[in-house]
Amino acid sequence: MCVYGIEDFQHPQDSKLANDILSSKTAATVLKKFHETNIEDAYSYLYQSSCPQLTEETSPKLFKLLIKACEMFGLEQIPKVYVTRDYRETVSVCGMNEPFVVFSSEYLRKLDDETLFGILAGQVAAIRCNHHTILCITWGIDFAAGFIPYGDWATDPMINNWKRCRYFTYDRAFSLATKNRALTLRQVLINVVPQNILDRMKSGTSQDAYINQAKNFLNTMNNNKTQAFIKQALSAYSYKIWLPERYEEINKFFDEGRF
Amino acid sequence: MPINFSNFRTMIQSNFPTMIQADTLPNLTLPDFSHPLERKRLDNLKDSKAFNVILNFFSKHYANFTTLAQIPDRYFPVTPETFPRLYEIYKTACKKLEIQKDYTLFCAMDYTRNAKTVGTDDNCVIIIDSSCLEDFSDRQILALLGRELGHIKMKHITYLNAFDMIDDLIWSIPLGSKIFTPALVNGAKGLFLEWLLVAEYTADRAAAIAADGVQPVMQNHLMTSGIENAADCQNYRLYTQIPFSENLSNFNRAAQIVLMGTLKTFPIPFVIPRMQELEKWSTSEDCAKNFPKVYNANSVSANTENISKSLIKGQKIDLTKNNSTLKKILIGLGWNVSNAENNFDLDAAAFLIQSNNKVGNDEDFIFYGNLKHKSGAVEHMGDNLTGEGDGDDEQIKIDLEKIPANIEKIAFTVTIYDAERRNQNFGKVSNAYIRVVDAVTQQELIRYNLGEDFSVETAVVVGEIYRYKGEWKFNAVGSGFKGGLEALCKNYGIEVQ
Amino acid sequence: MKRKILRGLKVSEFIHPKELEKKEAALSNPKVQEYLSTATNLCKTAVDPVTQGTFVKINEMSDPNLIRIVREVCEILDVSPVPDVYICHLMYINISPYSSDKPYLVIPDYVLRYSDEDMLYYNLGNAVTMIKADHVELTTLAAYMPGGGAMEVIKLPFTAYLHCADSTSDRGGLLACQSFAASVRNHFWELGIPPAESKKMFITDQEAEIFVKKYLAEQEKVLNRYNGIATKVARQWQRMSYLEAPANNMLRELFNWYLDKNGYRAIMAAYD
Repeated sequence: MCVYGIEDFQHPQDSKLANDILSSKTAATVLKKFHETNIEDAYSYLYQSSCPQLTEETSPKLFKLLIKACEMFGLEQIPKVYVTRDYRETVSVCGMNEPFVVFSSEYLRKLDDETLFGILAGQVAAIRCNHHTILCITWGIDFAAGFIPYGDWATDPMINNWKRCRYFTYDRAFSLATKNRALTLRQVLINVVPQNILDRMKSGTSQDAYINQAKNFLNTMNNNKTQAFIKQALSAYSYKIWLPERYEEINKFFDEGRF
Repeated sequence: MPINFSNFRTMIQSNFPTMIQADTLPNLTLPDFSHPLERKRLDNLKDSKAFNVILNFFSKHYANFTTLAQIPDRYFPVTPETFPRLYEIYKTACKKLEIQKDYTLFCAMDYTRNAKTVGTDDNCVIIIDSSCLEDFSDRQILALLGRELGHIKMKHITYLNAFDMIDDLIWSIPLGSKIFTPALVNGAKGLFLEWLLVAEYTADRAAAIAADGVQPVMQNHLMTSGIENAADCQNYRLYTQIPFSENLSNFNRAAQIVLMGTLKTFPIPFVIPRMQELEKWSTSEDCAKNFPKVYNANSVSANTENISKSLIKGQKIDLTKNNSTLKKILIGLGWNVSNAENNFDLDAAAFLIQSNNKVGNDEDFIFYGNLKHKSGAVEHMGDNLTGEGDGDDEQIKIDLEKIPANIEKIAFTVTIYDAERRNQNFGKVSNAYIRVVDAVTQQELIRYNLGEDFSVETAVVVGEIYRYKGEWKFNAVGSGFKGGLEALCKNYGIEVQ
Repeated sequence: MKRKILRGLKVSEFIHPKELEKKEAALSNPKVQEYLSTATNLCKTAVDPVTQGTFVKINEMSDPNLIRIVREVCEILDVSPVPDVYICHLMYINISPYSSDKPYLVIPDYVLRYSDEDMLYYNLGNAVTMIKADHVELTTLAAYMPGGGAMEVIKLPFTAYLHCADSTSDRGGLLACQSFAASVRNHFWELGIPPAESKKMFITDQEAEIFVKKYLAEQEKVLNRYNGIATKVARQWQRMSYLEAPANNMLRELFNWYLDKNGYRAIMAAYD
């Protein structure tokens, strides 16, 4: 089996912004605080005691795919997997010293085996790229900023941009794991569009029902200054994921001919 | 909200540090089911002056008219007239917990699979969210309401609601943000957290008492926390194997603040330790002595997998031949609609069939429009599962002794409502099963999992019980039909208009 | 179910009697009009990136049934052109019209998951009526108005207008789906009774009528249990100041219009 290195899947923007965050003074302060107190233990304890764990016994299929993803992406320690109930969220890595994965049950039930494998690959890639540490730091920054009036105005733009870019990395890992452009594009929309409609959207084919919307959006952002400014402002203060950007990045990645 | 500044000092002086009914133990004729640590932790909390002031402010000025103002306007009140089935479940829970007062129950639209009680101990309402009605069995709802009634009975409500609003309340109190320093508030919050956990342990016990067993409580916890199906929650012990210490004072103050700030992220904070604590109590001597139904149900469920026989398609098995005491059974039917985004509406039914393989008349067809057979032998529970069975989507009660002599077998079916128009079929249904439960002991006797052999079928004969040489047997049928309920009816001799 | 096409239907035939008066009261202040004009354009511009970048447009190929229903609803209510349809991932039960160069509809995936077809006609009819009756700009604006302090009082005329406008939209929804039972199921869903459960309470329009009458009487009784002076005052303030009118009151309004001999039935009879 091919084993991928970080350079194979980490998106350059993710890499740059991650380094910016990790090398900032704020991050150093937060990390120091985490080490001095046992906040990280409390944080992990809360997740692990409040979310049911999916184990080899309860979810054998998921575990088999997770082991395969870990082998493929060079992760020795198989992370634990938990589930929680949240309509909005999808999946994320958490924890610091011992990272783990948390799925939203609503999202998990939508995933067939191949898509699940790709998603797990993305999360393994996230651990390889140290996203769990950055998410802990950003969480700490958010938490602390809440105590300072308007504190989050200063920190949000940097954090939110990174939170958006990390999906480019997950999508690359998904692509490498499945080598299936149509499926990789499809999974971008899986949490927005109901299954039966998504099947008819024919992602990644010549009849892709979403591609025009994606192209129009990107063209507008390139050519319309007002719209671009508004998008910039929205990007700074929320970690809304711009679906057309993910679509574009996936197509670029496949077009680079790495497969 | 109007605040009378000139009365504020008088209010504080006259009420500080009195807690509302804080020193009165709840009036219990039911044996005490409170967690042993609850009293001590409540005493610790009462010693916090900050919390006393906040609590009094909440009780006097906030609770009764802001939250209770909007609820009757915006939620669905449950009364015997508006929602008799749910009202009956609620009253059953009240009876089990010996609660006389009628606290209004409301339904509200939400996704959380949870319930909460708002107001103060003397004046509160229970709100159950709509996703519970969609996804929980009646027994699970009984457990959920039992939990809330447990909080009411143990006079937790004022504390719980005040804690929920603690940050807002501080801002509402004149000069509150100056009087209550972060150290004071976080200190109170830390003590509160320690009490909260054991208060929830107590409420979980109340839930088990209401539902005569821990299984539905565990199912509720798991389903609320992210295990989507009741069937996957059957063996809840798979999720509670890792021991957790609930001693939150092991964490320093900074860590406790973090815990407090992040609690609301989770549907049920500390769900695993809660389940472990409930399991421990349900197998204790105290439970055996004071709540034998809960204790016995737990012993039964722990051994269910060893007793229940798992069948394959076409397999037939004796029901009464080696079990002459078996008189009443419960047929449980369950299913998952996998990866479906549309509204699947599945219905169970029973056909009472004579020797010619047809029903005698339309009344021998038991379904949602004809719930009880005139003989009393067969009763379709709809989703009305008061106390028996776990994880089933629908249940049918059978009294074997009352089945009319001319009835040779009873077939149990599941059909998809309006399947053709909605373009739905059993290909999208998975984990379908039928089980037979001894209605008296609640012991599962037989289970037949149908597997995923269906594609275009819109109706399935899942299983049947039939007479054989004076005894009753079960047949794992698992056979599909195209044409939905209409086709089934025609098959069994019912004219469909 | 065969539905009547209400060709030539005008909003004035079913508008809430106080809507226009409330609208005028909301817009009477010239400063408010100035704010509106600026803010409306801003909203239209600001909302577009979100729609195009995070929602997904649906066409005939991706969901022919849904597009067919949207077209039919527009035909029934005599609305043209047919608005575009987008889907978003949201746990919300109402379909929202948005305003841009041309109005469009945004449907939460939660609606598609749990609504039956009749309910979808109602929900879409409600949203399309907002377009027909020119509600969209003001409702979008009111949603983005800042709150707190004096703003709560300034917003009061808007909320009074919005409540009437919502009532008009409910009437439009009923005219589109032509099933009182389905309309009520939507309202009960908002109140906390999922569609599968309300289907057990009533199926036909007649059964729905009987049930709603009984329900509203019970709801009134329950409301009167929480009628201390302070609670009443708080409730009155909430009714006036919340953007959405209380769901039980909305149901009551729709039911009264359904029963009124000059209401729903008169319109349906006029379009024979």
